[in-house]
Amino acid sequence: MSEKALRWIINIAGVVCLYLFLAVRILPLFNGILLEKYIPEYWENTQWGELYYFNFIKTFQEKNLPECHTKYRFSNRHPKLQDADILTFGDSFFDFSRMTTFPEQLGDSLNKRVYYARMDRPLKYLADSNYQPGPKRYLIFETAERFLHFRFEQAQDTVFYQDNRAGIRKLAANVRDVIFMEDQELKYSQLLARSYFSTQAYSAISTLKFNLFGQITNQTPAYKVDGEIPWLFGALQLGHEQGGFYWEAPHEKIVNYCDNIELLSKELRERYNLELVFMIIPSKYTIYHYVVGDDGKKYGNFIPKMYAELKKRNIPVIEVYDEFMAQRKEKLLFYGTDTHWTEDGLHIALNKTLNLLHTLPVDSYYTQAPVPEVKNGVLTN
Amino acid sequence: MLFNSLEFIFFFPLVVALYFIINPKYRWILLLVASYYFYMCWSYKYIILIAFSTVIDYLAAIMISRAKKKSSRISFLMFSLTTNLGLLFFFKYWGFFGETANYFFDRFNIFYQVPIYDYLLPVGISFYTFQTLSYTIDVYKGQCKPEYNFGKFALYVSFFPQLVAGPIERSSNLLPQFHKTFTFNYERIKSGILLMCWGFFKKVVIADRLAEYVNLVYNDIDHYHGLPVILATVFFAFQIYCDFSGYSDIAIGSARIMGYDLMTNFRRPYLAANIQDFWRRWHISLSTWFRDYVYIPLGGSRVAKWRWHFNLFLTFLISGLWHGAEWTFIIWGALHGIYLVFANITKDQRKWVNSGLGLTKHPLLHHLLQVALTFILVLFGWVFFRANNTADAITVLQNMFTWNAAGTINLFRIPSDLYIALSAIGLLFFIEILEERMQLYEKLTLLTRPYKWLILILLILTIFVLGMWEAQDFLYFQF
Repeated sequence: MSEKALRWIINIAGVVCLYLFLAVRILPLFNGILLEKYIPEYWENTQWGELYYFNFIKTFQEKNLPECHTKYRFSNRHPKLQDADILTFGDSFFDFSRMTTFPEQLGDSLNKRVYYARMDRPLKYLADSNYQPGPKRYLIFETAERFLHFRFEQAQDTVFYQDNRAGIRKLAANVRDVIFMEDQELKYSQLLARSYFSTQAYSAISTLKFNLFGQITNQTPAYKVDGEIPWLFGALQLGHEQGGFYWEAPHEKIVNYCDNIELLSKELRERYNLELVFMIIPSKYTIYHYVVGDDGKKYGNFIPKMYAELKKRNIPVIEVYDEFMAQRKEKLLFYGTDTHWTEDGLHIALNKTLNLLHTLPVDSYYTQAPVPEVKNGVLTN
Repeated sequence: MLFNSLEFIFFFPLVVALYFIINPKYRWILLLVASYYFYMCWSYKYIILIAFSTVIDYLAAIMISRAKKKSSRISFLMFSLTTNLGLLFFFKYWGFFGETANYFFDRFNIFYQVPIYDYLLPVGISFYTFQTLSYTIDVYKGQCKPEYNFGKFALYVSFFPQLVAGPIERSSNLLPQFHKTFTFNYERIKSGILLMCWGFFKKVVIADRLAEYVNLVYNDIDHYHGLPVILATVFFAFQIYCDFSGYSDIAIGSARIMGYDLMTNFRRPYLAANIQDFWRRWHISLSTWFRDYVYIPLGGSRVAKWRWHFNLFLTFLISGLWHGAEWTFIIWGALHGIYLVFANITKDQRKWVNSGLGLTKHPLLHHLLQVALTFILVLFGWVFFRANNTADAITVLQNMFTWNAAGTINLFRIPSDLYIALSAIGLLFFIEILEERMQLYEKLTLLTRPYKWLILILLILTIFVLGMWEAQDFLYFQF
């Protein structure tokens, strides 16, 4: 190679790197080279199961996944917060749109207006939204098993501060955040893995590493490839730390979480006349650990312990764990390469929710109609 | 910003392309901005510390050179030393000494507690502090002239390839290079790229792979016995070497691409035949720093024998403390001091034993035994260096020799990692032995073009296919 050619290569590399440097900071440039566009709040609406995108190994491209719908919270069916009959707050399970989402199906089942917001700080959200208390309403708060400790290790804030930084200081802070972005590395890795130009090579190298040496990212350490569908499990679900399958879930921790949930329930009732209903969605590994040869004897029983403690405090809890365990072999309750539930999984949770709401004493509001049941994805009365 | 991050992989070509495009007169400005950006990506707040050190040393050096009286020169030097070492002490050692003091206060019922602050250790503070210290000391000694261009001096303090983990450059080597104009040099760029690739190989293929095994054992030492503990310790020796020398190679290679020569930091240390030789090969920029600014000012070897040994021991004790504010590092430094003193004391006896055993007649065998023994001694030191505390270090040493037949040796999450790690270490040894015997790079340049390309492509492919790309910090960042 001549000196001139090397100079050209360096200059071209410089231009490419300048583009990438800007692309991680400017969304249209970022999307300009992505195979599947990044739309904030829609990132999980992808062709393959979300866990595939942690390793890009072709073996884990799960076939026949349903396509994603427009998310309920962005659709015109979604009511305003103040107008809603039922509030549902939570994480990606309620937002997962490979099927009609849980809040939307709940609304259809009860013929009520169901509001959904994706977040984990209800009091702050309601304060920020200037929510005004009205007649008693239910707030269903959903949390994935592995995230519960993030949300309830500490009591949720009850006092909120406005960001009062003056305009110029705020601007300076924003400029600084853009220049020294915290998630720069993540965005670069997404560009590398998902751009038109590199995704094939990236995926080919990952697949080669997997096929030759069994190399797979430690973000998806447990997997199965020789069944009807490929299986992947996220690392957070099977650790020994809080939120992981093997965590021993000591009593004092359970009490601490439940104290904080009880406090949240009390604040919601007193401030907004909202009755908290709690739902913990088991991790996929908690239900399907046997798929990868784990007999499950080391499970710390986190969810059953939580149920027992919440019941002691009279906090309504939608108990899906036992039903998931009972039905896990008959039905596929989670997608093999996604963290989230299938429609069958969702229906178990929906039926449990409808049953619970029906039995709650407070208000005739929810008990006017007989409890509908969901069978094979069809609502029946 | 880590070298083994995508952030750096996309940042560096951009800097290089701009570097060769812009007017050479203004290149230092580009490098200064890039260096500050490089550091601020880790923590933008702590750049103030670098800027502060830069201003202090810039002014101190000029004042020293202008001062007529020796007492004034000493005052300015002391001002620079106390400011730099004060910052280093406050950020790195306050907690350690405070906790130690509080322990003794408790023991002797003294009702006083040294306040302990909870803040982040600024990355690279030990490195850039030592670099700036050497500058003011050299100016004081008249060994170099003060730099009047503030921007270029600021670049000397913060030059991004070696800012956070060295090599600790002397002003006499690096500063003059900022006044030169480097043209685009094909050969230099090529050798820089190759060196960077070799550094990446050591870091992401070897060091980061071994880290998994080492961390598993050393962070839960009570559960491991026998071979896994021995293997973890051997692996740590290679982890720390590949991690740190890998960083140095990337630093030297990236500087070389732009035309700058940084000093060699490692020269195949595990092929050393004795501890003294090891220190001529390991972290050379630091060991020569301690030699020039601590050991020799203490009197070096030109004093009474007991004082010479004391000087040696003290230098290594301080070197241990430089590595970290923990007793484990102090013990590690002391151990190496003891090794050297012992080697000096027993020089004649060892000669007598060697000839008694007939080893002098078999120089190759003798050399191999020396290398092996040196490695074992170094390994013993690494136990203290890596252990989370002194109690753990003792447990490591005990558990090495308690056998647990039930345990498995391969503790990697992915079983093939053991074979990849061992093969990579084998390849490393092979290349290092070749380098020891011949100028390997010079030999490579004699190859025909297709072979050269084949080697480069194979190296890059190996890095991508076998590299652990879930970016892990470089071990020496913590120092």
